[in-house]
Amino acid sequence: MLKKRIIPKFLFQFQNINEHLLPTFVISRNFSKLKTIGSIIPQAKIYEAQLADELMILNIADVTCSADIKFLSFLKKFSEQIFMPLTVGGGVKSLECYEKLLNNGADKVFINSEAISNPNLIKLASEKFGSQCVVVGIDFKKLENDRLVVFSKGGKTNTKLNLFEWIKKCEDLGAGEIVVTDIERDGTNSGLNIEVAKKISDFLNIPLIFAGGCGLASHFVDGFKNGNVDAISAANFFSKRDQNIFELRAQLLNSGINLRQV
Amino acid sequence: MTNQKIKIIDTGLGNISSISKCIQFLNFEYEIVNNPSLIEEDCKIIFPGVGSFSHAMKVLNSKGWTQSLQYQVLEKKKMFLGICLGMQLIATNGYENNIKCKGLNFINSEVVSLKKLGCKLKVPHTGWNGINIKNKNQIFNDISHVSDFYFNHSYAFIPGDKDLILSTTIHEIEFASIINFKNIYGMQFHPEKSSEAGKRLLKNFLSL
Repeated sequence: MLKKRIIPKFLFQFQNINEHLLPTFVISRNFSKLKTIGSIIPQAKIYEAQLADELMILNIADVTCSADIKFLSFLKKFSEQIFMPLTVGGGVKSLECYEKLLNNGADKVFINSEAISNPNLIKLASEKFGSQCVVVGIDFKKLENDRLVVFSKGGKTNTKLNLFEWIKKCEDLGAGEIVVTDIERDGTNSGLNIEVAKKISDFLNIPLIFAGGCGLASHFVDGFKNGNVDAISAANFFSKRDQNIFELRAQLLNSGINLRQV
Repeated sequence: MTNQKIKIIDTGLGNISSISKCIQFLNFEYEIVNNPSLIEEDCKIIFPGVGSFSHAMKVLNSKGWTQSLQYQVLEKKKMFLGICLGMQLIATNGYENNIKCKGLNFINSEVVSLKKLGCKLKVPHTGWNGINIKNKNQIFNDISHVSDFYFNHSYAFIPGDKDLILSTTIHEIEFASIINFKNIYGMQFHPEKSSEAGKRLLKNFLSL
C-alpha cells in the first residue's frame, strides 16, 4: 500500500556572507515577511536522517532557472549528497528549464506562474519528460462570497482563475502531481484548510500535496485523515516550532496513518 | 567479478547524478558514458531513466544505443540493471500516450499504463510502497521484507513469462517491481532514492 508522505519545503535564497554566496533557506508568512533560517545542505541531511519522504526546493530569486548557473551548480552539489526524492522549482519557464533541473539532480520539476500564462507547457513537459516529473504548484486565496481564486507570482497577482477549474485543467493537461497552498494560512500555524483539501481530493485523480498552516502534529493527522491528501508539505513547522520529523512520524503512526517503513 | 567497471548510461534524459553518487557512496568505481562505443569493454551496465517511453526510444535509436545495448546485453551477456523508465525500455513494446512504440526488446514484455490495467487509485503511483518477494535472488540478501521503496511512474512492466518477476508491488493492482532474466535486472522504483534498503539492493546488484 502506498504510504502518506511528509515533505519539508525549502524556500531557497543565496545570501552574501563575507563576500561568499551561501545557499540558505528562508520561511514566509502569507507569502511575505521572509526570514532566514539557515544553511540548506546540513538541514537537508537532518531531514534525510529523520526519514522525511521527499524534499522540495523552490528558488525565490526572480530569474529564469535555466539561466541561473549558480543555482544549478548548487543543485548538482546538493543532489550528490542527499539521496532522497527531490522536487525543484522557481523560475521554470521552458522545456529547457526542465532539462537543466533534471540533469542537475531534480527528480520532479515544480512549475507555478508560468503554467498559468502558458498552460501548454504542462502538456509539452509531460509528453517529453513524462507526467511523473511534472508538478504544478497552485496558490489560492479566499475572496468575497467564498470564491477560491488562484494567485500567481508568489501570491501577488490575482489570476481570476477558479481554484477547482484550474486544478482540473492542470490534470487534463498532463500534470503528474499538484501542490496546493492556502496563502492566507501560510506560516500561521492555524491548521490546514481541510474543507478545500477534501473538495480537491474528491475529484482529483493524481496525487495531491497540500500546504499552508501546519503548526501542530494534529494538523498533519487532520490533513491525512479528513482532507484525504496524499502528502503534506511544510516549512515553518520544521523550522520554528521545535518539531522534528521523528516526533511527527511517531504521532502520525500512533494516529493510524500509514508511513513508510525502513 | 566484483571488480568490473560500472558504466552508467547517460542519454541526456534526466537525473544521473544521484545514481552515480550513490554508487560512489557504496565504494564502487563508475564511469558515466554518453557514447555506445564506451560499453564495449568488460563492464556492468546501469541504465537509469526518466521521461516518456517514445521520446527516450527516439533518442536511443538516433544515437546508436539501441543496437549497441542489444548486442552487449543479449549477445555479450553483460550484467544490466534498468531503473524506472530504464527498466520499462527493455520491453518489446510500450504504449505511452496511447502510441505503440518498439522498445529494446531484451525480454518479451509490454509496458502498459496502470490505468489501463484497472488501477482506479491515483496515477502516477508516486511515493513509498512495499515489495512482495516472489522469487529468491541474491539481490535480496539482507533486505528486510517490510522495507518500502520510492516509486514514481504511471506505467507497469508486464513480462510474458511471470517467472521473471522477483517482486511485485500493489497499487490496487499488482505489478512487477523487480524483474530478472539471466543477466538482466530491472527495478521499477528508484533504489538510489530509497534510503538504506535501496542502497543495499543496489550494492547487491553491483556485487553480483
